[in-house]
Amino acid sequence: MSAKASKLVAGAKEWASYYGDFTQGEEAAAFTVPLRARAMWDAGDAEGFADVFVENGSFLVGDQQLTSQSEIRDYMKAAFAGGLAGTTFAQEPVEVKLLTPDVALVITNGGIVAAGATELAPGASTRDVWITAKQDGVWQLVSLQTSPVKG
Amino acid sequence: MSVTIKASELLADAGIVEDVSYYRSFDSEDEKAVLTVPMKITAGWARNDADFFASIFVENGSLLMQDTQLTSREQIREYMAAGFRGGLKGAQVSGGPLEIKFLRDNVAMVITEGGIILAGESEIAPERQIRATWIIVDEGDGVWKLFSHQSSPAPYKG
Repeated sequence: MSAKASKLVAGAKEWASYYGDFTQGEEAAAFTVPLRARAMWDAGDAEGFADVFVENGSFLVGDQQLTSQSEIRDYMKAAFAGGLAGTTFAQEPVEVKLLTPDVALVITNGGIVAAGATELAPGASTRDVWITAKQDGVWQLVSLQTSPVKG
Repeated sequence: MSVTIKASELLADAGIVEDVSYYRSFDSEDEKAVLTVPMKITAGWARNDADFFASIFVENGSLLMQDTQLTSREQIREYMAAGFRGGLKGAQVSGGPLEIKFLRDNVAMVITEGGIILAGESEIAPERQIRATWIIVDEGDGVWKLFSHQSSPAPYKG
């Protein structure tokens, strides 16, 4: 196997492990929403991050309730160019619950890992709730809210 | 065929007098019916009644309280019963809706601001002001129930 191919396989294996217990069916499909958001965050891609949301998606950041894809894109663009530059998004699945065949609640443990760091700083742990819904066959993010926890 | 029950009736069935000011600008019949859930939760706190509080959730309802993720009606009932006997004795909550979104006919997401007023306090202390996301569902009987509640520290604007 070429070095490039083995790197791709290693990457795929690593990402596959991020599903935790939620590897099957619609639950796994819904869980791709936080995984996609995390991948876009880690890439510093504000456009891609906003695209994970539905058009009128909602995201509480600090004191601000962002209530559209464009607000989220603008906010994250500035953040990735500023205070969030180089940060990554920690994420471990806690729970995936289907409310209907096409609406799911996903709960993760997470937090923002400082640029250059490999793990969460003390006090940076959050409990993250992702409200996801399937639109035109694709699971999208309706709402993301994070709550500080002691971890 | 789904059943529709008016907000005023849902509240009356729970022994709650309808406070129309709670609805703010969300005053369609559908929105009001969904908002009976946060109004019932407010009443559950005011009564310090853990059984009633837990009954507002679906059987596998989820509630984040500080670091504890409660994931069933029974866990919620036990947690709140202990709370109302202890540090939450005499505590109330106050707040109001900021956003309502129907994800499906029978699934709504509500965002509220508010917080806990501990016994002896007259308003929500700054460190207890929160923003909450509620997932509220109608399982088919017209009685909207709480599927998930999560809160994060955020200033209350009123």
